[in-house]
Amino acid sequence: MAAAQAEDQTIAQRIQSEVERAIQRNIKGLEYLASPAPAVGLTPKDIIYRRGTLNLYHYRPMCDDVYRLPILMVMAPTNKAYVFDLAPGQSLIEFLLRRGYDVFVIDWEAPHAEEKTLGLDDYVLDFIPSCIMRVQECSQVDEVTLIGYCMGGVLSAIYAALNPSGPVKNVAFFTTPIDWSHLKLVRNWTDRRYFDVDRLVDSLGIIPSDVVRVGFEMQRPTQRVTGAIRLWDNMWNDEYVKSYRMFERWGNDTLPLAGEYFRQLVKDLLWENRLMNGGLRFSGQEVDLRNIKIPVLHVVAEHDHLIPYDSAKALVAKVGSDDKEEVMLKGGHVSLGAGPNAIKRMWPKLDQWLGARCT
Amino acid sequence: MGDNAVPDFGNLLRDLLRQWEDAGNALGGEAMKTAEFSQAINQAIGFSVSAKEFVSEMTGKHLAALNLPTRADVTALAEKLQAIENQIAEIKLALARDQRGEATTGAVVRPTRNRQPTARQDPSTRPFDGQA
Repeated sequence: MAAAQAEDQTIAQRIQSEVERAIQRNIKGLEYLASPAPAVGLTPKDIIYRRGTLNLYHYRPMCDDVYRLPILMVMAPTNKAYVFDLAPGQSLIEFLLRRGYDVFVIDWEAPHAEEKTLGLDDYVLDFIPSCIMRVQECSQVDEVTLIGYCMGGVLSAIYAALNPSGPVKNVAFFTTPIDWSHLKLVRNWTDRRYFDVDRLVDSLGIIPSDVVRVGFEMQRPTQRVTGAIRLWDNMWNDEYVKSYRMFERWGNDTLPLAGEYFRQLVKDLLWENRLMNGGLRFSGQEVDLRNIKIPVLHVVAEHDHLIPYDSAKALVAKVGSDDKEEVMLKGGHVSLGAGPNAIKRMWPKLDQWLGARCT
Repeated sequence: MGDNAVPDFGNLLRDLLRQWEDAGNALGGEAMKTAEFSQAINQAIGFSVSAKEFVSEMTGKHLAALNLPTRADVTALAEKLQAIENQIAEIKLALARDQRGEATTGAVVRPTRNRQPTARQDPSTRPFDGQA
């Protein structure tokens, strides 16, 4: 009898909870449609260098005494860097500032039509060194620590390999592809038997952001539909909705790519896998990851559908450093750096690693 | 009798959604790994590029006939404008630095750079334990 009453109560509670959620979904659903996307990237910063597609931010230090070495974060040219500064309490940059680091970030704007000729060499031999020079001027310290995310990691790795004598003292990578033979889907779409990259680049000049975004989304074909259903299911949950909207905004802010850069990615990295197999050259100098002998940290995501582990694991194996470490965390390509697991796991680990090396 | 006897339809639907998502991604992924898919998608891209080139060429001819600037002319102008904008941005940044007193007096308050890692770790920054 008591068990039956308890069961009735449980059913009643569930129905009540579902009805309340349904009401909340409707109310908040209307708010969702009427309200603008949440503000992102609010941590105070100054733009200290700007040139075309390139922006260099200096975040205002939050401690009176900071670590000696400044940190320069290099974002992937396909995406905006505010993924690391989504909201107070959900910002890797804010976390690093509060932990006493001096943080600079390379962020990208959509390249203009006249920037279609920007290639990998412009990013590696011009943009990164120019930014490092500004960081050195601003911090009055010669050495820097680099942090590269995804393709920002590839650019950082190439730069560090070409400049083994400095000024980079440490380098941390987030989910950085080295062995491009494991990017199976993208390699198939750009199969050289069918894909005429020269014609595409010569015709378009700039690869539109829609092409880049669809390229990401197609790797999880159901993502958009299931994301919308989960959003509706969680519409009563303000935190979920806010987080969803921030990540959705970031995804929609995918950047177009300079045609020449895209051509080189396809030919040198996807087709020839030159970062892994050798043969990638800049100004006559071959990129050899064994030349990286500084401390290296590589943080990879267990469920990264864009950069599978097989593609990323070659980094630590190839660099010539004695002090090198790979950390695998639960999460996906984006949640690795900005999701709840990042806050609990990755950020403290990064702080621990950087703190020991940025003095 | 307890909770197990009362199915939670919300969770059942969420499980179904998860299964459909996994199956859809796996199925879609396999289909997109085939040579046929690559051929089809690249044919579509080829048609799209051809159409774009044709429209661009025709539009360019019409604009030239009307003595109006073509896309290439506008791009060339944009390039010059961008160079000027870059110079203005540099000047503005230099002015901002001047106003903050960095360039001339060096009087801007900078943090000291003597920080050392502390042995104490607060709960939000506990050492990583390797368990994801």
